[in-house]
Order: sequence, then structure tokens, then C-alpha cells
Amino acid sequence: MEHLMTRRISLRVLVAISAALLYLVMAGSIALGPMDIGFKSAFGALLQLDSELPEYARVIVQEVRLPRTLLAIAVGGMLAMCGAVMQGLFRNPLADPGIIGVSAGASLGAAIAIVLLGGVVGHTAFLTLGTVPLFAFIGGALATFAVYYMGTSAQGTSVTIMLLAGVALAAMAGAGLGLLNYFADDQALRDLSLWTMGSLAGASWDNLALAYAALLILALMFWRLAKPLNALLLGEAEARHMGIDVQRLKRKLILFTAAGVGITVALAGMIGFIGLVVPHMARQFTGPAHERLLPVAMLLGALLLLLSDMIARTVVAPLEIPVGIITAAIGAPFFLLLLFKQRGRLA
Amino acid sequence: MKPVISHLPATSKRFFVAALLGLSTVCAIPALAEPETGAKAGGSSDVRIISAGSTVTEMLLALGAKHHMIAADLTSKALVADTELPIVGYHRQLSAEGLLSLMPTHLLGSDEMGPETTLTLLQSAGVDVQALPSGNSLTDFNARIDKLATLTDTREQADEIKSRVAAQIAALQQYKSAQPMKVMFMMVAKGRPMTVAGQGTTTNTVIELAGAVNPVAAHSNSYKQISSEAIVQMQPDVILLAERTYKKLGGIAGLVAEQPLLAQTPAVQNQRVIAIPSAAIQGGFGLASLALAERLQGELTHAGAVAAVLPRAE
Repeated sequence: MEHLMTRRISLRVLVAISAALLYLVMAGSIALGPMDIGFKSAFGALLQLDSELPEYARVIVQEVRLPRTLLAIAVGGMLAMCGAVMQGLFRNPLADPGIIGVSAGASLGAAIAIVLLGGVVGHTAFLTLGTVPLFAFIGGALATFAVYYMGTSAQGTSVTIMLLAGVALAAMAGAGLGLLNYFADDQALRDLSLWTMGSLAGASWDNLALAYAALLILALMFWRLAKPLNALLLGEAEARHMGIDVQRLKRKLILFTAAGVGITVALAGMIGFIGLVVPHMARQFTGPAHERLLPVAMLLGALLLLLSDMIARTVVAPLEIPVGIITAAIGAPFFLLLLFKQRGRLA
Repeated sequence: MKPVISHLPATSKRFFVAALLGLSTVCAIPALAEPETGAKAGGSSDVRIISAGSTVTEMLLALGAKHHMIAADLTSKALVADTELPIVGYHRQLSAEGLLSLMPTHLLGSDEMGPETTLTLLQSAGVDVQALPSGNSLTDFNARIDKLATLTDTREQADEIKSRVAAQIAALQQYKSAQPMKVMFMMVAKGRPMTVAGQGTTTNTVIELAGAVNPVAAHSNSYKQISSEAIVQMQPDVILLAERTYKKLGGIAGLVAEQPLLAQTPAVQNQRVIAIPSAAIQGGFGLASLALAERLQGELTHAGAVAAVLPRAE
């Protein structure tokens, strides 16, 4: 362990650097936007120091930029942690939270809400008010439960079978989604496609409470499970020999990941690449040990999503690009870069 | 950030806090140097409208209230193409800050505009957010125009448009045929099934107002893909295509080359394939749709072959 520590940057420094970067981007995210408020006024409005500021500046900073910034941090952090945990659990660098069927189930749930319920209740005032997020969460939870159930027998849970069941379930959900797409009218179709691209525009003080409660619980639980998760990296049999209740561990990890991803999907739609790419980025600095990997991944995930959202809000203002497009556009080339760097080692 | 702190020993916490404090100082430097901007509130009491729907945009233009418009949404793009107006995005995916940065006094659109969070935020920032009735009926139309006229102080123009529209609709409805023509609108793309307009589409309203029937209306309530066999079975007398599609295909010959079965319809056999401007059938029923219905009726009641391309209004 001592030897490892000397070879790698200390965790404190890593966390400090990424937290500092995150803080910087946070300041930028609050100060910058389509409306030119200026750093000083923006922070004046944030802290309510400047009573001279017009109402719209206060609304923009306090009700638009701040909640969005905070939501990006929570969602990005959760997605990255869940991705890191999934990659550890499946011992597969390509695993992302989608692999246990959460994303597929969530999209199907959202599509049912948009196409079938939207048609009954009318499209107004509905998309951000809970029905779609709720259905997305239920869909994600049901899918995970199904995948877990299919992968579990008297001998315990087989991650390989879970992985394959996840693929099959995703295909089934895809078929359902395609069918709903076909029967959807133009408006629902458009809503559906926008939803699948993800956005943080729905951020409000109400849903931030949920986001941060989830982030806090997830971070604590994963932190406690970090050491057993390390043991799992060596193999299930080895972990069992080390006295770890592997079955219980797997169940916990899957449950928390599904809940975490389900909540992010409910709050921000589908945001790809954070869960897949960020753990890889973090691992470059921390190595595979989860007690080091998880906090750094969380901070980097928050950083990447926040940065992406800033770009999404500002480049084509007053329009907004769905943030999922930006995360993919930034994340994927970075991922390729890592792959090329590692090519020698992998081959 | 709480969970991170809880992860770390006390020394790291201090480190973390120190880093935050250090950075806030760094951030403060450009802040202090920066001149105050964006605080140009109040001033003129002008009505500054963001139009979030093509029917609203069209009406504002018709009322001669263009100078009150400061931005329009994507569905209005074709209508404001010749102006410098910024486009604020799709009307169901409006960005709160993006809109506020234009400092509007009013956001007007259909009841489809959203998301709700954006609308609520705009309202709390003092913007008057109104969803105008977007239906196809004369009542909805009049309600829409009255609201806009009051807002932009163009009552005279509004009354003129209202009486003109009422007269237009009355004239259209006078036409009764014992055997109304079967008219279908279709979107044709290479190697894919055709998409046709059903009940509940603006195109359907145009067809019905023109005194024809849309055989698809009984089967579908929006734009849906349909097999060419089904189209042949419906035997449309007239086929409508979007101008763009018509040009891309290169006329009737191109259409038949793409979908050979269409040769078995009266529309193709009698050369009754009509190109219509997309702007008249997109984004809800408006003045352009009404004009299209009139021209279509004119062509349908004409004896003999229909002109391949309807002339644009004005």
C-alpha cells in the first residue's frame, strides 16, 4: 500500500484539485449564461447583496442558474459513481449503468407516460411535473428487478447472466419503445426524442432535495462498500474466501446503482457517457481501488456534466442544446484518447 | 459536496476549505474589474413579445405588429425568415434564461408551449405568459386575434382581418358537391413507406374546408406511414405534396418512379398532383392555411386538369 501511494498522487491532492476545478466551473456556471449579467452582479444576486439589481437578474441567478448548477453536480456525480460501481461489479470496463437495464426500462416508462398518458391528459404542463419522471423511475426499477431476478438462482447471482438478461431486456424495451413511437402523434414523438437526449432544464428547488439526498446516501453507501468491492475485483471465489458475503454485496450494489441511475433519469432524462467515461478518466489518476476511485469519479462526473451544461446553455443561446449531446461530444473523444494511450498495455 | 467532505479525514477537510477560499479570491479578481452590465431594467414601457407558435407569429405579422416581436420560435421560422429576429428554439423546449435574456414583456404561444418550469420562471420574473387558443375553429381564431390586437393596439386591423376571414370561410362552405373529391396529403421519401396526413392535422382541416374529403381521416389521427397498397385502395382523386418534395421528385413522373403503385390512382391518371407550400400546413391552422384551402377549392372546382403547382398567395 505504501508503495502504491508513492507511485500515485495522494487522494487528498486529487480530491482537492478536482474539487477546486469543480468550484471554478460552478462559479462560471452561475455567472455565465445567455443573459449578460456579469460576475459581480451574478454573485450579488446570488447572495442578495445588491438590492439595486432588477428582478429578472435575481430570478435568473437564483431560480435558473443555481438550481441547474446544483442539479448538474448531483446528477453528474451520481452517474459517475454508479458507472464506477457497475464496472467494478461486472469486472468489465465497458459496463455502464445501462447494463442492468435501468436506462432501457426508464425510457420505456417515460415513453408510456408521454405517449399513452400524455394523450389522455393533454400535453400541457405535464412534462416537468412528475408523471414522466415517475414513470421513468418505475420503469428503470422494474427493469433492474427483472434483470436481477433472471440472473439469480439458488447458486447466487451470476453477473454474466445478468449482463445478458440486461441486453435482452434492453432489446425488448427497445421494441416497446419503437411501437409507442409508431403510435405516437407528432407532438409526443418530438417530446420523446427530446427526452431521450437529456436536459437539466427541469432543475428546481423541489427536485434538488431529492437529488442531494440520493447523492449523499449513494456516496455513503458506496464508500462503505468500497473495500468489499475491491475484493470482488479479484474474483467472486476470492472475495468469498476473504469472508465477504458476495451475494449480499451484489444485491446492495445493484439496488443502490439502480436507485441512483433511476433518480438521475427521472430528474434529467437520459444522459449518456458520464457513467461510462468518467470512471475511466478517474482511474487514470487513482488506480482501481474504489475508496480512491469513487470520490474522484464523483467530482469529475459533476465537473464534466456541469461543463457540458454550461456549453449546452450558452453556445447557441437563446436556444439550448440537449446536454446529452454535449456529454457525448466531449466524453467520447476523451475516451478514445484514453484507449489509444492504453493500447500498448491492453494488447 | 457534503459526501466528499464526509469521506475525508479532518486534514483533507481543511485542505478542501482552503482550496475553496483560495479560488473564490481568484474568481473575485475578474469580477471586480468587470464593469456592471445587464442592469438596464425598466426604461421603455414597450410591448416586447416573444412569439412561441407559428399561428401567433403569423397573426402578429398580419396585424402589422411586427415591431413588437423580439423573437420567435422554430415553428415560426419560415414566417420570419426574411427578418433578423432571433429564433428561441422549439416551442415545447423553451429555455428560461435564453428567453429572459431578450427581456420580453410577453410570451405568447399555444397551450403546447413549455416546459412548465420555464413558463413559471418567466412569470416569476414578471413576464406575461399567455397561451392563446390554437384550435381550428372560427371562435378560436377570433379569440386569438382579439387578444393580440388588444395587446399591440391594432384593433382596426383585427376587425378587418376578422371580417375577411369570416367571409372567406362562409364562401368556402357554400361549395357543396354531391360527390366530394378524395384528397390526400403525402410525404414521400426514398425507400420508405409513404406518410399520410390523417384526422387532426392542419392538412385535414384544409382539405375539408376546401370541400373535399380525406380518405385517411377514418384511419389515422395524425401523420402515419401507410402502405402504397392501402393508398391505391383509397383511390384518391387528388394527391397533395409539399413543394419541396414535389421539386425533389421532379414532378408526377418522379413520384410514380418512386412509388409505382400510385399510377393506379385517379390522381396520377388525371395528372392531379398538387404541390402546396409547407408553411401553410405546419404549426397549426392560420391565415396561410385558409388561403391554401381557398386555392385548393378553386382548383378542385375547375373543370379539367389541375395546375401542377398552385401559385403562392400574393
